[in-house]
Amino acid sequence: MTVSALVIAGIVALGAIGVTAGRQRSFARWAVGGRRNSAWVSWFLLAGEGLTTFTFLGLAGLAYGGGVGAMFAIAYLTISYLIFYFAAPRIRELGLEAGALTVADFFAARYRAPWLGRLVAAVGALALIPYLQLQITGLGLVVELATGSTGARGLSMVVASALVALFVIWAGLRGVARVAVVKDALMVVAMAVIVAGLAIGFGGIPEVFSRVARDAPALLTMRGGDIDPVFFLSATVVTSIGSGFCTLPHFWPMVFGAKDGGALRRTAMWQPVYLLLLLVPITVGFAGAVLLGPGEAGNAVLLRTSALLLPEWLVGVIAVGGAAAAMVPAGGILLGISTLVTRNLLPKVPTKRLGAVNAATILAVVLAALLFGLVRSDIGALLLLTYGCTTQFAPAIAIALLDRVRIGAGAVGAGILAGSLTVVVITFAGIPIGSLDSGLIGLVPNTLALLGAEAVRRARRDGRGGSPAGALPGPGALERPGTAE
Amino acid sequence: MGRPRLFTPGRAAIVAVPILGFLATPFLPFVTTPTLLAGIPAALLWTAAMSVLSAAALHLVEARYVRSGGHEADAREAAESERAAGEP
Repeated sequence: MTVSALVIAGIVALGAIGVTAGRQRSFARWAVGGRRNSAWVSWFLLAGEGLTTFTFLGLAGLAYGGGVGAMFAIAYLTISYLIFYFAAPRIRELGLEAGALTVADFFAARYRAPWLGRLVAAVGALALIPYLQLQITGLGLVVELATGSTGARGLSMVVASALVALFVIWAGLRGVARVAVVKDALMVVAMAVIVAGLAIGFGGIPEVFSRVARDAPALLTMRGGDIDPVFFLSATVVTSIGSGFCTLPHFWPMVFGAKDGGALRRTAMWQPVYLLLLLVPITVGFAGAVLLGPGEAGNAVLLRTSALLLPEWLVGVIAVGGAAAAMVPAGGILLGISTLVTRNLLPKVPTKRLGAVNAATILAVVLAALLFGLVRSDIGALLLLTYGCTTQFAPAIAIALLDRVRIGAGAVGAGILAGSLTVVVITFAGIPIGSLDSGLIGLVPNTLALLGAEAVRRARRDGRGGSPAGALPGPGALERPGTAE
Repeated sequence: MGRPRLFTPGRAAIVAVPILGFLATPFLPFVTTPTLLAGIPAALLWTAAMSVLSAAALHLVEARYVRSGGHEADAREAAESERAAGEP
């Protein structure tokens, strides 16, 4: 009961902190913080995306079953920041020139095709809903595991969803940023507590691995666990590309909100070091393999192992950190979906009604995700679609970052549709692809369709005597000024 | 006034080093056989080393970018953002 009360009180406090960021009346200030976010704010917002409920629940489970193969999470997150360092400032620069607030705005402006923007908005908004449900379900699971109460699970999901909706409607990106600061502090505290528990419980961290070497040596290789080299490579490559080019639509308000490219670059420069925090849940996964034995559910490993090593109230503190790790991404996702709907899918909404439509969208989406989460519907396949389909935006985003966009919107749209359709077919038809990632496979038809459609466009244009360069005559505002180093 | 180019082949080559290090992980000898160094799995130490190398590579790239006028470009961008934020 004490732990349940502690966790619920922690969730309420997090929601209240989001509201204290203050009401944002202008849509641009609400969506992208007025484009004034410093490096620190950008840091916390993006760290909020890197360290989610996956950190708390999934990663320890991956190490528990896959051993050192779980390091792919650190590999892909770090590589994604190496790409992000170059891509994000350019996205911000082009977005500011076009007055973009969403990924769909960016596509519409760079490819001079509003229909492409609407296509991206529709795919992006739909793809984010399972991701939102994952956060809400993950939060409930953290609370259930920490308290042992299914009642606390449901209550925490309802309370957290309502509070996230409230602070996002009220304070927008600034509210998410404020909770993100507290969340990161909680994460660091939780990880320190876990490390201390491991060190005291085992008599030192090396002793954890000595026991693994004795009892489950296969976990120290990438040959004996659940994660093989093919999975490691394909998951690392495709997720690095996806995250590095910000293919998940809710990243974009955070990128557009940075006051300059330097804020984004400095964030990327230090994130690889910060991500070393992920070694903690990975180590807990190894400890779980020794302490819990085989057969434990992967998602339960971190909190079950912690419960064996720490007093109950400290497990409660860790659970509040886990709840925060769900609430921050959930806030970002809600903001991402609602801006896509309000700005790109319902562009004729009068300015004075933007706030009301936005709020209605947020409430409808959070209610749907909460209901799916409460009935424990299986979202595994849908989540694969989220990653697989949004990764198909990557080639188009990369092309749009060039000085001049020489590919037509039709070719880009054909590529996105071909890649996404491939992912859908693989997922729902159950086509065996071994350890390969469906998103990575989808990039092949994506690229072929893009190149094929572009070749047809150029052949038709040349037949009509069009410009030989093949460049789209973009508006001056979107042409990059001098680029000399 | 234009901003200096951030992405160049030389800078891409710098960040390619840790990327290749990460992607080589499954094929390294200490990942195919159980190996502990100072009591820690060698694969964990390798990954941590690549993470630190990644941060170092980005700092090196940033230093080169700043030398080519990056700070001035950031200041101009911040001013543009302020102007954009002031617009209705």
